Amino acid sequence: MTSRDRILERIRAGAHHQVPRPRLPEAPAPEGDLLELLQDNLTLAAASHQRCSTQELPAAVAAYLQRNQLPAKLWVSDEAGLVDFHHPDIELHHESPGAETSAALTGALAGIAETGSLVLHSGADRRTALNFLADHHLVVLPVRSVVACIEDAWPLLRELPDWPRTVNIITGPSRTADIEQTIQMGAHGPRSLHILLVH
Amino acid sequence: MKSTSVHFHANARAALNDPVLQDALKRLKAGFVVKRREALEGLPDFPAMREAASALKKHILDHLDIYLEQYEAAVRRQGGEVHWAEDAEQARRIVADLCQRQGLRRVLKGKTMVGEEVGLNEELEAAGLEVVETDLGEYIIQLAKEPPSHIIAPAIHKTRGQVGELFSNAHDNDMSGANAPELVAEARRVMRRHFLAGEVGITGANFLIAETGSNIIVTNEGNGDLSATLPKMHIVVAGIEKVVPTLEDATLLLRILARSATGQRMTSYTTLHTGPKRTSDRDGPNAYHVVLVDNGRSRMLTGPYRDMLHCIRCGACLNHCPVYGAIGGHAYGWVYPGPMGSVLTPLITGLDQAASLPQASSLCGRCEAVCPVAIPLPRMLRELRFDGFDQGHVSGRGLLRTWAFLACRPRLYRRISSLLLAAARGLARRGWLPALPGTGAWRRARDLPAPAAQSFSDWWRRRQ
Amino acid sequence: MSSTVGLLVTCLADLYRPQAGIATVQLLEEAGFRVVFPDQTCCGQPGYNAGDRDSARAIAQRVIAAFEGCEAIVAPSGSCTGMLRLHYPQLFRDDLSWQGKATEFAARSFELLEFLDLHAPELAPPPFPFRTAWHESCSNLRELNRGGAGPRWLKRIPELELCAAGDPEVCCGFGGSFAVKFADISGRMVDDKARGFEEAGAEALVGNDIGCLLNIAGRAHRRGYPLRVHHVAELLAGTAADDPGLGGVR
Repeated sequence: MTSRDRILERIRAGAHHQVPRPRLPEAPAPEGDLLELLQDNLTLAAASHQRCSTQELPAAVAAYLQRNQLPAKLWVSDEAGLVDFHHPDIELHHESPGAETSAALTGALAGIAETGSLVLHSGADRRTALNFLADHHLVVLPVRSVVACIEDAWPLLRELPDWPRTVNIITGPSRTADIEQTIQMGAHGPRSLHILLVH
Repeated sequence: MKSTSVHFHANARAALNDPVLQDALKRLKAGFVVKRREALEGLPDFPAMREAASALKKHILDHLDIYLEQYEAAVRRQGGEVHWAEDAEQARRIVADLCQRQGLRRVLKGKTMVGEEVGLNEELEAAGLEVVETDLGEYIIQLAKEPPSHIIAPAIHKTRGQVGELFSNAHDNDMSGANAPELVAEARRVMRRHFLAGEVGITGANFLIAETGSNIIVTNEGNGDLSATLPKMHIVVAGIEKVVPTLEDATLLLRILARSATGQRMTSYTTLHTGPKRTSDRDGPNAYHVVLVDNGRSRMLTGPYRDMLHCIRCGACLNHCPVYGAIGGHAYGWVYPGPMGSVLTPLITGLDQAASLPQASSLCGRCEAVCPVAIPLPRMLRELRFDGFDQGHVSGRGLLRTWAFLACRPRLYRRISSLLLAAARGLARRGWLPALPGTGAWRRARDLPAPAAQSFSDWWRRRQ
Repeated sequence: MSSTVGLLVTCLADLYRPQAGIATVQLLEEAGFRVVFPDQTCCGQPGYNAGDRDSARAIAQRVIAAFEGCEAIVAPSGSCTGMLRLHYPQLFRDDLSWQGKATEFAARSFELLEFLDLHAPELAPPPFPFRTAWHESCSNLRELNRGGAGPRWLKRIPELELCAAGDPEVCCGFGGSFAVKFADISGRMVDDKARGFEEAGAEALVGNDIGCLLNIAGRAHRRGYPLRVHHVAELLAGTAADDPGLGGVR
């Protein structure tokens, strides 16, 4: 008998396959405009955001870097929608991010209005490390990709051709309260999270 | 980790007399209790969600074998491997072997309570590996060579000044007198080097999803994600009770977990990891292993402690426990403190090693009231007291039996109590009793009023 | 014919605060009930909470038998009512012959204020001219779900100034033998509690569990904080205003 067998045997002594599966409570159905709710909840989660058109995106990113006194360098994801991203004043990097990565630009599969969260996933045209190693994480979210609640994100993931190795649901910047219970941003991941809501 | 729960009394006394710890514990209330209350005010359905979560956990435990097998098959489909550990030692060995077989030496650890439970770090370090705790709180206590004092805020007992000293000694920087932002920046700077050099990432799991074979980790710092993404190998260590059937089931539990723990609606990072990196992926580990840890859990499925396996490790029972609030986590002597720890510790390490823990509660019931999965913690503490009494771990048995003997004989009881009342009355001064034999413990913190001149029973009999 | 109510006075009120029992009798009789006081000692909670299930069962069987024939059992205590109502059925969950009796007994058991809410809602208590805080006991709050019932009664007492103090969700640290076995921890808890009442400027403390009240009165006395401590029945029956309270000199 293997350890697996022994553990399962002990479990079977107490698992009788009788307790029915309960009905889960209905997913929350937020009232009003989802985009507005998302924006409110992004702010609550300490993420900043702005709205812009696809054409305005490069200028908006450049202005963000300038506003935050960041080097004019950007580690950019290669996913569809960002492949063609360029701005004359910004030096673009497509290699792995590292200690020097001041800002990263990625897309997102969806935005969740209920919680102010973004759903990102790994793949052949993107790097999960971008979501965590940059000081500033800029995320492009098409306004049509806003969903109401967490449950609405799962079908979008199930529809992907392959289930991704990594799914990141990101709600605000990295933070810690491990020193005297005071919240500090930028523990190990991004200090700032900025969402560009693109229409 | 070796338990010192047998020394609970001495541990507790030391904690009560530690002014630094007492300062830290005062922050607990503002930090966690208030934030949880605010978060739940925005969730009117919480009682219904709590009930549903509890019913879901009951269903899962009753089908635990099925869901674990489903989960295992799903992990394999995605190219991961599942290992089963019956006890702490086997869990440690599996993890150490996985690292050593591949010749991987630099280990990054995300926060894992089950890792603490099985004593992972000691084993890995003994095997010559370099282990770095990457959660800031865990890193602090790793430098201090201490166990966690809280399941979600492991270094809650440490002050800024103490952290500064620990950093000054361990790093090449003088951090004494640093403020909180400076300390966080310092940890970030030092940890970056470790992240980029790490070869193995070990994380825990808040949930295991049978449907997809994913593990979910819920964090705020991002250290768990970096530990799971940058190294060559990702090892997940998780208790067998962590499995849930579907993502929708996990969603219900996610909604109550962060609110109960930190008062957040969602933590910064809720991450699903499923298998190793796909061949075409730009990053991620080449190997993905899950170690499913039993360590006493399957035994708990039969008998009165089954509901303890509902626990989602939110820490709300610690934050609201007046005993935890008075003495902090270390006094409990092992990995899990507070009410959930007072149940789990004797069940995992043996009641003879932790007989005081179930007794060290006023059974005020606040833990059960705040538990998001409605675990009847006071009932379990009582059950452990029954077991402890039956196994001879309860002091004062003679006194209890004498009391019970008298309590079953009202007339004798009345006669003896009348004698005691008369004696006490003779000794009373201005309505209060002086130091008398047997009153020492009570009188350590408070005075003892003199009993009445005439008991109610005597009054009643005269009245008739 | 009036209904018969059995009084379970509780061991602590019997020895430490007979005034609470006497006031309870007065209130029940004024509400039109015939009060009986069967032979009794204690509800069995000390043994039960210490893990001595056999002793607790033996005592519970005596209590259940003693109150046979009473239409209701009233206890001036949240904690003892919790024992009768919730824990007696638990004690006999594996004993078919007693399970039914314990469940039936539990259904007839009431905490005093709960009983008055049902049967004497019009009761008009006399004045009590003190700044008064209510102590919410844990069993009252979480076992009986009767949080807030005490303050509602206090608000009906003329000249009583009700003051909110501390966090009513937090235990005073009594917990029966817990107060003695873990005297240091309990001492910290009761100090927090007593300080809360002191900081709120309470002149009187009122509750429905003598155990908690002994604990807090004892700590207040040690702190040198003059606090009159009464069972709520004494206020409702009108015997508290001229009585110095627990530990007071008569």
